Order: sequence, then C-alpha cells, then structure tokens
Amino acid sequence: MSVKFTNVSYIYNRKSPFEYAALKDVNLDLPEGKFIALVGRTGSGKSTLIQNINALIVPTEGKVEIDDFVNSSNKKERSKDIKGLRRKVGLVFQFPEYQLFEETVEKDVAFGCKNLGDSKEEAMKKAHDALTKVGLDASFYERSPFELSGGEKRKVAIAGILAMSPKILIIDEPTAGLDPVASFETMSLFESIHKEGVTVILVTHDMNLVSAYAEVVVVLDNGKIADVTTPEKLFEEDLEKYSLETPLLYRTVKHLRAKGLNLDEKSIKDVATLAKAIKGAKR
Amino acid sequence: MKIVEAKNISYSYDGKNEVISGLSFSVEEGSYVALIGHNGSGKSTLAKVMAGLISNFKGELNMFGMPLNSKNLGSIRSRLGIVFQNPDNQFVASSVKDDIAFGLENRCVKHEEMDGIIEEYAAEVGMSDFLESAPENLSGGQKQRVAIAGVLAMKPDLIIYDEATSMLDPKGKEEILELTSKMKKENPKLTIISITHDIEEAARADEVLVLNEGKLVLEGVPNEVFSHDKELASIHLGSPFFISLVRALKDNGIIVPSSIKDLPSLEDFLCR
Amino acid sequence: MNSFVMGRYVPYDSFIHRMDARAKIFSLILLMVAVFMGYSSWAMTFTMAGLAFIVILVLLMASHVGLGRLLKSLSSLWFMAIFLLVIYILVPHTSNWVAFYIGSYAIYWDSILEAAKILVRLILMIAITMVLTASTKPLDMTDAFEWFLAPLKWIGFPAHELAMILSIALRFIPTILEDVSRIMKAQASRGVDFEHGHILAKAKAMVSLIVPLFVSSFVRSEELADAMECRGYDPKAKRTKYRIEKFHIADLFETLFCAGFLALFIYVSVTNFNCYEAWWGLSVK
Repeated sequence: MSVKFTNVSYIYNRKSPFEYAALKDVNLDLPEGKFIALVGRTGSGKSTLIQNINALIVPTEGKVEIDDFVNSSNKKERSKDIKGLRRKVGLVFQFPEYQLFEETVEKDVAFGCKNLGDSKEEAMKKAHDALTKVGLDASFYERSPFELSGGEKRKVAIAGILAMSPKILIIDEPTAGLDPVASFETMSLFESIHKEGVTVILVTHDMNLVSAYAEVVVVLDNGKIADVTTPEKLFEEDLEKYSLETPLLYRTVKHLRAKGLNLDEKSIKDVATLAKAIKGAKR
Repeated sequence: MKIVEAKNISYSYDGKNEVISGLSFSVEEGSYVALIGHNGSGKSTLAKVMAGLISNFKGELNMFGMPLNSKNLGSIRSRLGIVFQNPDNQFVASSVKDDIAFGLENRCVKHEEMDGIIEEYAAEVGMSDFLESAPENLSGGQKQRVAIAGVLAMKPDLIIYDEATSMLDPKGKEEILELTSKMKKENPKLTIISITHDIEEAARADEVLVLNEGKLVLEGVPNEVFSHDKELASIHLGSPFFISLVRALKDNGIIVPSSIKDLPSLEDFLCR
Repeated sequence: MNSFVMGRYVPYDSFIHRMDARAKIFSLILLMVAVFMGYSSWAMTFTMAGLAFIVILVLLMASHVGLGRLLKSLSSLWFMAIFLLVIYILVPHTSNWVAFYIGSYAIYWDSILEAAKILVRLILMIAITMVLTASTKPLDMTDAFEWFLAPLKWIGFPAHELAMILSIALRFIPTILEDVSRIMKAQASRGVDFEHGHILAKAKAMVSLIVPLFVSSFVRSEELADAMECRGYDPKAKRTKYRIEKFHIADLFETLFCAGFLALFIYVSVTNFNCYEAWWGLSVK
C-alpha cells in the first residue's frame, strides 16, 4: 500500500487573522511495509501530515494518494470511499484511551468494524482476535472499559484499531504517559504487527524509540520535509537544529569520537556493545 | 529535621486489595528524593496521602513534625506544594497571572502585594512574557512552569511532583528538570519529592525510593540503588544510562573511579 | 492557534469597553426599563422607540458591533414576527380603526401595531444585550454578577461559588472544545460519520462523542478539585481578591446619563405627553 504526497500544503484558519501554514509544499513517498518514524518538534506539522493520510483533513493544495484513494485539494479529483480508506489506514491517536465509550470492552473494540460494514458476528470475532493480540483475555470482554486501569484502557483502544486490520498503522506517541514496562510491551506489539507486513508510521519525540524500532526516519521541520534517512545516519547529524534530542548512546559515541577515541561504531547498538567498543579502542 | 516521616502506611481503595502496604521511610530537610516504580505500584496513592487528599489511611504519617490529621491539615498544606501530572487540570484561571494569584487569594495575601509576588515568581520560572496568556495558548511545559510558580509563590518547605513531567514532550521535561535544579540551588533548604518513572531523572536525585506493588523494595543513593540491577530488572525497572555504562565498563575490565559522577567526566576519563 | 472569542466579545477600546462592568450592567438595565414604558398614542410609542433606537445604535457602534451583526441576529425573529401578527389579528378587540380587509374579515391597525410594538421592544432588548456582551469580557461580567449577588451571601446564597463555577467553566471552554475535536477525529478514524446517515446512525455517532467527553470532563473536574484543595481553596473561608475593579468618574456620568434617559421616558409616559399635539397641534393616533 503506497502513500504519496505531491506538493501538499495545509493552511489552518484560512482568510482569518489566525492563518497558519502547517504543511508547506510537502513531497513524500512513504516506502511500503517499513517501520517509519515521523519526527519533528511540537508544531512542525506531524499531526497535520498524518491526518492527511486517512483523509481526516483535505490538503489546501496538492494531493495525497493512498493506494488508489486520492485525497486532493481539487474536489473533482477526490475519491469518495472514505470508509474504505479508514479500513486500510488505522490511526491510533495519542492517549487513545480517551475515545472509549461503549458499555463493554468487546463492544468498543468491535465498534470500528461495525461502522465499516461488518456484521455483528464478524465484528465480534475480529474484536476478540484483536483483544488477544494486545494481551487481554476473555475475562475482559464483558467488563466496562471505564473500570479498567490506564494501561488496560489503552490496550482496548489499540485493539479497536487493530480489529479493522489496517494495512497502514499510524501511531501517535503510543508510549506517552506509560512506564518503561508498558512502553516496551506496547512497542513490541507494534513490532509484531509490522512483521505481519503492515506499514507502521510512528510519530514520536522519543528518539530512543526511533533508534530501537525505525527503519526509515522522516524529519519534519517547520512544515517542510527536512530529511528522509535511516536512524543511524540521522544520529550522526546535529539534531539540535530540529529541537530533537540524540539518544544518550549516540551522543556519548559522538563525544568520545570527538575527544579522540577511535570506536568501531558499526558494532555499537547498546550499552554493552559500547563498553566493548571502548575497551577495544583503548587497547 | 525530618520533613516527612512515614511509619507503616497502608491504604486500599476497595477495602480488599492494598494499593500501598507497610510503607516506612523518612525524608530529610533539603533533600531531593525520587520515588520510582511502575504504573500501579502505588506512587500516586502515596502522593495523595501526603497531600492530605486521602484521610483514612492506616499507619502514622508525620509531616513537618506534625501528625497528618484534620486538625493539622491546614497548616501542613500551607507548607506543602504539589504539582500534578495533567498541566490542564490544575490550571484554574483564564490567564497566567490570575492562576498564580489563585493561591495568593486563598492565603489572604493583601491585594497590593499580589502583583509584585506574581511578577517575581513568573520571572523565576521564565514565564514573565506570558502573564496575560490564556492556558489554551500555552504548551504543556509552560503550563507546568506556571503551576510551579503558583506553588513557589506560597514559599513551601516541601514540593511534591506527582509525575509532573510524564505528559510533557522532551523539551517540556527538560525545562522542568532544569528549573528544579535551579530551585534547589537557590534554596538549599527546599525539600523535593519527585514521583516519577523517568529513570534518568531519578539518577539526578539525592535519594531514590523504589516502590513495587505497594511495597518499598529499595532505598538509598542512586548509585547504590541502581547497582541492584538484577532486582530492578525483575521488577521491570532499568538503570540510568550513566550507571549502566559504568557497570558495563567494569564487566569489560575498565574500572571507573567513584569520583566520576556524571557522563561528561566519564567521557573525559575514558579519553585520557 | 485559534484564540477563542466567547459570547461575541469584540476587543476594542471605546468608552463603553472601558466602563466598569457593574455600572454598565446597571445602566443597561435602566435602558431596558425605559424601553418598556407605555405611551398615550401610537405615534408617541414609535417616536420614543425611535429615540431609544438612536441612542442604542450609538452605543452599538461604540462597542464596535456592526449593524450587519445586529441584523444577522434578528434573522431568526421572522418566525416570531409572523406568529405575533397572527395572534393579534385573531384576538378580538374594541377598536374600529380598520387597516384592510381579507375577504370579509377586517384586519385592524391595532393588531398590526400591537405586534409591531412587541417586535420593536424585542429588537431593542437584543441590541442592548449585544452592547453588553460585545463590550464586556466574560470574566468581567462574572465578577460583576458576583458583586451584585454578594449581599445575598447573608441569606446563604452561594454567590462566590457560582462565580467561581462560571469562571472555571469559561476557562475550560477552549480546552473542552479541543477535546471535542480530538474525540471526533478519533471516532472518525474508526469509521464514524458525523454528517451523513440516518437518524439512528447519527445518534450513535453523537453517543461516541458525548460519552468520552463526559467521562474526561468528570476526570478533569476531580483532578482540578484536588489541585484547588491542595492550593488552600476553601469557598467558605475568607479570601482576598486579585481582580479588583474600581469605579471611575466616567462610570458615574455614564450611569447618570442612562438614569436621565429613563427619567425622560418615565415623564413622557406618566404625563401622557403627546409631542405631536403639544408642539404641532396635530391629532394623531
């Protein structure tokens, strides 16, 4: 499933004193099947970009093609089957637990499928499958989503999107507010979804996540695409200019290299390998 | 003086499962204590108990040398400031200056003195240019800074951060941590208890208390606590980068002297 | 990005904007009373209404409310106008002053003028209210109401608490609107269509918006209450006030002007003064 941005611009509050260009002439071809990270400081246009992919918003100029669906500023070019698009492109918002509303967990998870046209039975089956994927067993099915813990609620919300079996999964700050354990569990879930062939687009500020999971990084700066690269190449650069923080591991490697230590950088993936490399360099 | 003295604190929301049980610890005046633990370990419940928001807990809790009960609650609250997790849900007024004024109004500060105090503490947290700003136009980090200004304006002896940075982006988190360092430097007698699951923040504290499933499992200085890496891993907590690196270097035969306490000095040491 | 403008407040710096909210509310109430006076003849009624309209128009322009804005807000009154007209036409009365006939049914001038009188009064009331909301910040109005209701504290009326509730509500409107937008987008991403579809589908769509909104609002209010309590808030206890408004001489003049205006209207009404007869010797209805 390909995603292609052609000369896309998006302006909020047009023709008002609050006019603001969130995206400026964006051209982007997202590689299929990859784990893509979308990074940039707050206000760089990340949310606007992803909302164009599932047609929550329409470009002010240009067009976004998601497979054969066209989300264009030109009304005549625009495709009509939005529900079909919403099935293919799943979007998990930040703090998704705030969207829960049904009486039972299984009903909430099945909600998306039902809206997209599945029968009640089909939707329930998909809901149960999705709940199993996120690690919630049958004891949760009939419980009210509001009596669950924060972490459990988030799993329910994520299951709600997974049940629709999207081919592209966009996740916005999925680990916000989670402790390291829950964080790891959540990202492992997305990693396994990715391995099934789904294109994952991770929007995040956490460069450690980018380092650990992303294959491709798209950097947004002030509404424009500043770079499309790999995590390793990205961390070579001075990320301060994008108001981003290089993970401690890479920062330390850079500092040590600058101070004269000859490290075998290709071997460095974590603290243990860093220590080995330092030992190797000191011999 | 012991700012906080807890003996065997226990509490359960539903009368059956204890969210915190048998907590005993003390906090000395002027220290910066990090309370870490996974979500659900009881950290926030403990914060609420210390804030006086939960009254029917078991055990003894002395704050500023006074037992925490309904009689002393007012005077304890006047010396205590709390910054909560959600930047929006503690911003009461429609502008920065009105929000800082809220606390002053509650304490019956004279009207004539208010503007001066507001300007002083807004400057302290770096929000002087935003006095008229409405909360919907501020970032999470900015709103938390306003919350801190409101707390500081009451000149507390103890500030509790209840996961104050967990909803912020990295820039916001750094703003708050830097501000906290500044506050501690300017006022060495100020005691800070930071409830967090940010390991890197905990590494900057004077003392670390580790909570797991409602019980206190480790306490001590960061180096001490984080040396128990196996135990920490078993309760799903990691170690700060610096400490993990020092340990890994030790595993590789490079001994780092204990005089090295931070990353820049470690880098210098390694490059000698 | 979008700074929210509540209650159609128009930021400007006119004498009306600068006026103390309390004096403003009081003065505008005086004007409203003036509008409801009754007069000796139809001609006088509409003449006085015209006079009131001129004064109110000046105030409207001072508050920077265009005539267009006023006309737009009146567009919903058409239905009421016709309704009134029909009611008055059907009500039996004593006058013989016929306007025209529909078939053999007589339509009297009195019915038409009666309906018109009510409509005119309504328009003037709306205009006066617009002057108030356009020139007064919502928070200033809340403070003013608290001040007016303060004496009721003696009989236990929670004036302060009400004012605090109002000001917190105002503070959270933009925040909650953001919540609405976020929830709608999240549900839309799950296939919800808020615009099309039959009644039942739209109702379900609304539920998926309203339930999460209520839940998050309850959580907000609980957390906010905790935060306020920890900052020492006690509505029953004594507290000082940061936002204090002081009366100025200008407020006195402006209030006196409105009082004088009302006095004039009362005089004309009570003495059954008819300027057409008194000044020009005309006999009018």
